[in-house]
Amino acid sequence: MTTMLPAVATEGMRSEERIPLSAFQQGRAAFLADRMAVAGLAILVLAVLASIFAPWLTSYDPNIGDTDAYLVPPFSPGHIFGTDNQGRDILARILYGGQLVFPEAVIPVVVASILGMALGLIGGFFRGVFGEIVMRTLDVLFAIPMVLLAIAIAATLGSGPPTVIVSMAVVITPYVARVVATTTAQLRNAPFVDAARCAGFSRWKILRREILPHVIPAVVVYGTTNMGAMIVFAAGFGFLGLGAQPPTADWGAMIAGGMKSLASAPWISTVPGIVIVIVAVAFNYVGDGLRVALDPRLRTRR
Amino acid sequence: MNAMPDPVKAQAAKAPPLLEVKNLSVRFSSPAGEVRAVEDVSFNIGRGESVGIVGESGSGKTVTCMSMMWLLPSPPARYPTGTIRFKGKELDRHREREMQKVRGSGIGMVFQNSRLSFNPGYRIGSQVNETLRVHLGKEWKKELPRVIEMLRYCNISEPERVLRSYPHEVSGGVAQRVSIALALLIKPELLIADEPTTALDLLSQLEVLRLLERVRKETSCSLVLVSHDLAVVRRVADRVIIMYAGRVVEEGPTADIFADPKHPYTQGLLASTAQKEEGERLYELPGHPPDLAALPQGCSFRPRCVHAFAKCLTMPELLPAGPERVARCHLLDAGREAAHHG
Amino acid sequence: MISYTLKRIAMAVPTLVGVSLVTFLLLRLVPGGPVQAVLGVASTNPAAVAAVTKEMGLDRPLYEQYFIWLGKALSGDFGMSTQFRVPVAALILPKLQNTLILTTGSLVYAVVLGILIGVVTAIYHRSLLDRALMLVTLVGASAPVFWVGLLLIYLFAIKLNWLPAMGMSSIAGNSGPFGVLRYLILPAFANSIIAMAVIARIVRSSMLEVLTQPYVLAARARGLSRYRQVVVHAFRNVLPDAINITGLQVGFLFGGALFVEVVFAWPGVGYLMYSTIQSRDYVTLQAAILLVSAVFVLVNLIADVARMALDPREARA
Repeated sequence: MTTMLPAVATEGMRSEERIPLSAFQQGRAAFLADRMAVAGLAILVLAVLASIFAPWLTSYDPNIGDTDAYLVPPFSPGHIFGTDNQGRDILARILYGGQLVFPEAVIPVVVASILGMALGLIGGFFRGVFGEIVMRTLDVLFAIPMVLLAIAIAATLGSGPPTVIVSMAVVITPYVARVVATTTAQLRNAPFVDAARCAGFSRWKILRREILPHVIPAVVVYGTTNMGAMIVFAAGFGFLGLGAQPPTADWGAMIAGGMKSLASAPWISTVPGIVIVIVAVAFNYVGDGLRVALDPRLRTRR
Repeated sequence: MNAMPDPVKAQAAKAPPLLEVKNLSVRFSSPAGEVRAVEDVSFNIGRGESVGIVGESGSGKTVTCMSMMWLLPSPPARYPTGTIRFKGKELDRHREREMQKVRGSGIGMVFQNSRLSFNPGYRIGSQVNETLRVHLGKEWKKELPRVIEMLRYCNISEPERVLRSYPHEVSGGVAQRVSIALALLIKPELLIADEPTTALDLLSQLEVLRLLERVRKETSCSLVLVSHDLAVVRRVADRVIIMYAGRVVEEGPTADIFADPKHPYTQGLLASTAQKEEGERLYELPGHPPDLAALPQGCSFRPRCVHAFAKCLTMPELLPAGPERVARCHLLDAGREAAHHG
Repeated sequence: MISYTLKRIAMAVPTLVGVSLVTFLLLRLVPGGPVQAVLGVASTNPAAVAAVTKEMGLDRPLYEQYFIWLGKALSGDFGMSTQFRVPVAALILPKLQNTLILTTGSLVYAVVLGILIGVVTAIYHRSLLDRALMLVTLVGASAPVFWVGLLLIYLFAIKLNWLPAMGMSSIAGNSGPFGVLRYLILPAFANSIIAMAVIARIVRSSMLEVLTQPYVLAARARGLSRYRQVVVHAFRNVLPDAINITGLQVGFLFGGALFVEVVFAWPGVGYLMYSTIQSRDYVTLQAAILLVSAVFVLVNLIADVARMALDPREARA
């Protein structure tokens, strides 16, 4: 008997009577039980669909303003979010801007996940001289503030969405690689991996059967949890003028565009910011839900 | 038993006992439902008495002894019923200031792993001083020579060095004896030791046990010793309380219980720790302790009991089972009825 | 302890070399190559091109170019700014000082408020207060710093007119160092929010774990007050985690400073970098990244040594 409280509270609990579910079913049940995660997922699905079907949802052109409707405040008939200083409908710009912001956030994460997983496995699983070089290189990249490095790369390559994607992918990759390297380094000496080694499994078979099933969920959770930050990051490029060039709608550039009329028309900057916060918070809750759903230990601990 | 009136006992009967636990219930919430860690437990600790509380993991013995000074934070712990009286005065768990005075100075406590019960970030000496300062106020420095003396009493050979050390730099046995010394330093009237020997190696176990025996003989301090190890309890305790699934199932003088256990659970426990003789297999209680969030109907021990019968589907009361003895079993009732009819 | 410090300093050297390599290579990414970068985009004068090629050793192998560049950088010569036509070192050092003032201010906000929120939410775990504060930190951490900055300007400078919206009064000027503080309040807070939220979350989870440790229960059993249990005993063991995460957050504070400086027109390295983006002043950009990264490496070194000094198991080993 220990003196620790949770142990007192949980010991003696058994689940013998329960019907065993498959890992997927258990994970899905755990995710669906998390109301915030489900709500977050619903918001994200709606937001993505709304930006894909933007031409059907709004009749306004996001880039050409109405000369009769400068600086219309929000909640006005015809312009629920108001218009900006060129008479462009803010809702339309938000919807079309999503077509840019979502890929700008998702593609770097996907690319970095694949690259980072490869590098992390080299550093954490295969090791050797090459692995050592990889790990030391990653250490160096951590020593440069991530945002500054990304901005510097983008500034050097010249602005535009492809630049944003490349520079974000470059700076996120080390972070994914570190997650993968620490996970595999822990797994490497786990009893079940030793057992597989003793059973004479090849390195590739151990990698595929024993390591990857643990690494992939970790990468997925890491990517999803940080996707919110990536939306904010992508908006940052737009804000600095490194993203899509005017007049193309971009959430970050919209905030920058409203700076000049902050005193007279605060909504121009405020509305896109609120949208970014909602999307980022939704990603966070989905990431938390996935973390619990994919990690059996966390599932029982809750 | 001696029928002569004992002057000490006669006096004890008049004065209130040192500590009274009455109808104590402790519950925790868990995803599987409400965990009934302790259920309607009552007992007394007399002045100068040494009481052993015995049970398996999850029997509620640790939760019970922590609740004796309302130590468990609430929430998560909930107390639907229960009063604790110390020297006749009720301890109000909501009055944190009053409880702080009782904790340490009135009732001292020693934990299972003493190395973990010292903060790893401070030297042992500074944690000893802190306790002195809290309980003695400005006068605490005068007591410093007594610290060394008390550590020596507890068989610490180099007290100065130990006080300068961090908890991770001393052995588990030394840490345990230091924490006993620290508890005794404030001169408590009751010392609670929760599994004080479990985490130690054999030699350190013996040393700690000898120390506890010495404390029992040489001081007026009452002792509550919580353990799953009957041999340890037998050595130190005058009286034993056996707990199972959060309830008291048997209580009585140590010698009597070891000679003639009444409850089937106590019988099983004794049989499983009995000396193993040549060719004889060690007896093991069948089954597991029950899930405290889903207790079986009636007697909690019923699913594991070899004597279980229809009446066991109702929870038995604590029934008299001899002089100063009680046990929670329908067999006693049935036995009495059988004796009555016969 | 001393040997750990020396070892940690030795470890920082290869990191700094790596950082210098990355920043060196950055200039090679410029479309048109380093010559265009150094001369400015418009210049095509063949004599100037030849002069630059010779000075930077561009006709020699890449590693020699690196050593030429590194040698100059170590002696404080970062080249000429193509935008302002002045030596980069003279341009950047005062700005670096201003950025350090801003990030220090942000760090103070982040550490003080982050620890406070983390400790309070851990003590009142699962209460309404805990939930509310955790939601606030999540929303704060999910908001773009530049947007938060604009909201603060709108509220405190435009609507309430309590604080200045833009710029930074000079320390040498008539408003004195306290004048700077007035200008610092809003931008430092805007920049601190994400770090504050991260510190709060780490401190909260670390505190929750520590509060269930036997020694906290034992401290309670010895009759120690709630304050001593939490602050003296529990928090002591949260501190190393708090220092670790704070050290890591400094990098994000430098990143955030770029945006905050743009919003508040704060004359720091970030604002300078923003102007180099538009003027394509790559030489200045390169020096800015190098210097800020060097400061970041130094801060992490200090954080690591401090954390080690607080752990008696390590400090006496």
